[in-house]
Amino acid sequence: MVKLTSSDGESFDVEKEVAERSVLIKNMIEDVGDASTEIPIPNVTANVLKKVLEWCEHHKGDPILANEDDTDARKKSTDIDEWDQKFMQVDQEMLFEIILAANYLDIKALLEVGCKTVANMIKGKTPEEIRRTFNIQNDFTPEEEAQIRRENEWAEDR
Amino acid sequence: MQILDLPVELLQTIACYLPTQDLPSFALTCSNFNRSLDCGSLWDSRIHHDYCHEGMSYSRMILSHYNHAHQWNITLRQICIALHAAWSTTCREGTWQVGFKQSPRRCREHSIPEYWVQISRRMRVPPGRYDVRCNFETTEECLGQIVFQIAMDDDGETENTDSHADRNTDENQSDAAAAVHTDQEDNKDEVQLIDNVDVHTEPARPNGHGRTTSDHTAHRVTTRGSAVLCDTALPRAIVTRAYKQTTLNHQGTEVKIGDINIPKTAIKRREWRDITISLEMQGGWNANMKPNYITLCPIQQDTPIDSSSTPKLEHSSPRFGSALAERCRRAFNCFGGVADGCDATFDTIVNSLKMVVGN
Repeated sequence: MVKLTSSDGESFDVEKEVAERSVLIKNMIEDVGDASTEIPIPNVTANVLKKVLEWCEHHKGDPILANEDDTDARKKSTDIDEWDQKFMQVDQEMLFEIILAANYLDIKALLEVGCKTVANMIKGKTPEEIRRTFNIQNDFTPEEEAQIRRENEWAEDR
Repeated sequence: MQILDLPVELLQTIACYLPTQDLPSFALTCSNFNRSLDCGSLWDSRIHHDYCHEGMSYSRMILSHYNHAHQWNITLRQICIALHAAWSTTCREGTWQVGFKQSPRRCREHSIPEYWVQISRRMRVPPGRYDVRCNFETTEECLGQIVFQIAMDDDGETENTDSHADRNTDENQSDAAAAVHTDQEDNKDEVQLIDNVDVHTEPARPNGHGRTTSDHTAHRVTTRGSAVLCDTALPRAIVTRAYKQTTLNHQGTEVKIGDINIPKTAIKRREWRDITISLEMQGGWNANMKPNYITLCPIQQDTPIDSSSTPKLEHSSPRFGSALAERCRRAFNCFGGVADGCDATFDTIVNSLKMVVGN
């Protein structure tokens, strides 16, 4: 078992195999050489770490994604596994926290699921709809907006 | 925590999962989103995804040529636009390219030169066996001799090179006419006319590295009797080639070209094969004859395909995509930091890409 401590001081005892879904944690365990040592996770709060570990537990038998070529191939599709879809049915704040945590902990497959979820929320929407979805202010001047429209019109009918 | 609190690298990762048609909306959402698109790797992977190996190698070539030799500020984003223009105006899926070629037959003095019409079209199809037919429209009876060719993009990873040459011929033709030649039987350049129909198949040839080789020869012309074949300048493996001599005697004549087999690719997760279909009508350009459409009717598909992403196989009349190219040019020119004379640069890039992606 491995003991992980979140940024707000909560400890989690998890199987080594589950914890090692994170390349960061795997490397730390290797560096320390003793799996019983408590590993601090300073950038991730307890509620987010709990959620991340839930994902790691479910996917503990999956192969670790590392290859960049695979990354490119995966980007062709925004299909998400059914369990992962349900897992990602969280509020936006948690969704972005999970993405940040996955990025920090170096869990490529979780990062991929998170980014695909956000991409699916953007797909097919107008700029105004995207702003509404994510509560974003339009910070372009009319001139900038016109220029970007011209720059991007080539892609519109693809 | 909001989306804009994510670092720019993560916004770029999210953008990587968006289809190209969603990028304009993404860019127009806010300045952070727009800035996140200024990312070489994003466009790199998009060029690779949309235009495969050809696009990648040519974007590299153009980048190194223009960025280093002339210090012009051309980004991958601009190259993607130029690629799009070249692709769309020549042989993009959904667009026919129509060209004319002067017949090599000797014309009498002062006579009007004879032209042959060539049309080609790129399509993306799932592997499998297809029944291929071409529909022509004529307003008067004429005898048309058609050279039909399907060339498949060579990804160098063909799963089964033996099946490359697998094809059948028109069941209405005699067995003698429906000769099928294998690589071992024929010299590659020996294209024979046998009665009305001749079929010549060219399986990819192993080059000693376990990969397939294909035609890189620019505009290679093979002449045999009155038949002329023009190969594309593209690295493509030729699936099949057939001559059809047929009388087109009423509107909507349908000519069965034959059955073709598109082999599976061994590249993981790539289900589609990019093919170029070209037809050349010989025996004189008849202004009253035009191709309506080609149909590829699946007889058997090797892999189950997600129907939501299946492109319509065919139904299109020839048309040029010049309006789209003009739009691409405007978009290209809108990028800041491009030196004077970028029009010429755009044309140069597009034209050089046309050599690659088009016929």
